[in-house]
Amino acid sequence: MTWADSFVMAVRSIRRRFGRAVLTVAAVALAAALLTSLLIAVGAARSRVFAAVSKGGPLTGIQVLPSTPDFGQLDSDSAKIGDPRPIDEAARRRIAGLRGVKSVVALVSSSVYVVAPPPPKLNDPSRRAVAQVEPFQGTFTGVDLQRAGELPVTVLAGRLPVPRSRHEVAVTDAYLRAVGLRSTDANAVLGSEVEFGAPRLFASAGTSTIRGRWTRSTIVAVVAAQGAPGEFIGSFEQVRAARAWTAASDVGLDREAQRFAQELTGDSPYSGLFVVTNGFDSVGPVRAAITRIGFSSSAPESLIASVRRYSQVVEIVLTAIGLIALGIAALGIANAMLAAVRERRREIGVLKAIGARDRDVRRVFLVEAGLLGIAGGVAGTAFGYVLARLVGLVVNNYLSGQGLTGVHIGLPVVIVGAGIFGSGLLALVAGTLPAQRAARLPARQAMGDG
Amino acid sequence: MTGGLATEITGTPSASGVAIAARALHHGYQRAGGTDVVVLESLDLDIAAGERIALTGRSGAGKTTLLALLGGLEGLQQGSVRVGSADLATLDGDSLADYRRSTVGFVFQHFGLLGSLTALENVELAMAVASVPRRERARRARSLLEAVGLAARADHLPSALSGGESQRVAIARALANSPRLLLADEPTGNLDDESSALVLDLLAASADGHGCTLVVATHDRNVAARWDRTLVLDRGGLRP
Repeated sequence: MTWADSFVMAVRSIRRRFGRAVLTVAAVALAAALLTSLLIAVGAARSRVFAAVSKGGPLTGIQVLPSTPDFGQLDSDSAKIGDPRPIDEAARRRIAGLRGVKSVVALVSSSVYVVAPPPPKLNDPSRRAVAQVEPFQGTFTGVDLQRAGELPVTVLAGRLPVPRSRHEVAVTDAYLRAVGLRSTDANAVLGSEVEFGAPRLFASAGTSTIRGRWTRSTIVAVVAAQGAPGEFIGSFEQVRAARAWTAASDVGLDREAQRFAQELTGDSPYSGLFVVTNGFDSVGPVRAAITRIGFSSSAPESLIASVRRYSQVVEIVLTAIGLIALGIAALGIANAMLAAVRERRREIGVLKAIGARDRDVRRVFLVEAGLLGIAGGVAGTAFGYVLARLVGLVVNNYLSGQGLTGVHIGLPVVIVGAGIFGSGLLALVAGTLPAQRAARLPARQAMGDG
Repeated sequence: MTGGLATEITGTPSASGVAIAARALHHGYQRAGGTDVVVLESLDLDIAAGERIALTGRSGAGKTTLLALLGGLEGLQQGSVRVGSADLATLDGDSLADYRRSTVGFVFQHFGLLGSLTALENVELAMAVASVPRRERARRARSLLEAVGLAARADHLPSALSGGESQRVAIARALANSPRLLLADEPTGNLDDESSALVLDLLAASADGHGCTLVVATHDRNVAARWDRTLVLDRGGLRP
């Protein structure tokens, strides 16, 4: 008897006892749905927590600052800042060459004058209208936007500027505060234009005057940025052009003008580095190496380690609950299959009477159990995903009300595979005893008990 | 209809019957209460190849048990049974299944059709167990159903068939692998007179067409009278 014949017989048997099959599948489906939804929810929550802890960047990231490390640097997740120390290209390359470093993203910042756009109209009638703010001095940080995913930057609204763009900019929460808005107003500033003035000193007849190089950019995103200081994040090209303009200041012998120009551009070619390591276990050693090189750094390694431990405990507990449910479902399958064997004793005897071997009978029952399990797994995984999405909707509704980014409810292939094939496998295990019992029934059963 | 049956049945693959020799058969059961019940005691049996035998006796005499032993549905406790060249005492597990598949065709009182399969699929099932290719199965199954006059009912489930029709399907299934020994246990026990006559005609035609040995267990004297010889089971032994 071939597998195909066993399959046909199993399908026919399921169809004949459809009501019982539906109940059995439903039991497996409920258990699989519980396990799937729990795993999806746990995965989403863990991602959200880690994203919050790492400020949207990779968990394995280290922020390097242009200063020497102070005492106790390695005992603290935060940077212990000593004296200023420029980060130049040589330092960047040295850090990039450290063992365990996957990539290094450089940051460049510049001081600019900002002319904010007219305040947006807010839909909330309970709030007073926001007044136009005076031009202010802000910090514009430039990054390689193609590698923005490696930075601790979380998009709260909109999208990141196009790489190399000179006319798009992302603003941070600090900008919203500067113009009198809240983080919940993020969407209101999207699409408005902000003007930047890069200052430059001109010496003339013993006095210095400041002239600006004015550019205009569209706000395309509101972000939460841990590694990038200031109010604006844009392309390297934008910030380098501003720095070049300011650096060309003609300060003559005026010491006050010299100091002012230095403050605007700073000593360091890079205002910081963001180092991504190969794995979470590399964060500590790489940080130690950076400290030995002579730079202060910060990384939420202790915090993340704690969160990981707690999240693993939660994951284990919830998975155990799901597995218990699956175990109960497996008992249901075994019970249904044992009942089927009891009911079909004569049928099994007839199968043997016409020459079926024990393994032929066993296979028919195992295929039947496997089909019930896979059907339950498919239905349960789909139902579990829907459940997780519904929970995600409720959670996201709450988070957006709090001005926070929501969770992403995905359906990882691993969970789909585990849900379907795990249920099938479980059903096979549960069906083993009934199948074995069926296989061992004597052929004499074909003639009844007489 | 029955006049043409033998010809139609002969149209199926032919086989020659087997001789049966049983010696000193002893078989018993233990009842639920623990009492031992001896069913067959020192039973000797000889059946010639191609012979058509009626096995009679009162209820509980051991007719079904003897058929089960001859058909390899139950292992021997004591004694020996040789069916053709097969010594049943030496067979077990897969080899016993092979024997049933290749040598024996069963017809049961309760028909023994699988309720989830159509008449055609029930006949095909016997060939599926024997690993006959799917296309060949379908062709032979249709031919057999046509031979028993049920071509039009091929796609019906057993629940849609009458008792007589079900037993005819069972006979078609029993013949599917061209058995050399056909064992029928009270084949007309659940049928009305008209259906009984048709089924008996069919069994006779099948045995003739295939040349197979036929053993029919029955408590009905009229049914027993149709066959070459009648053996009566009584107190664990046989008498003519």
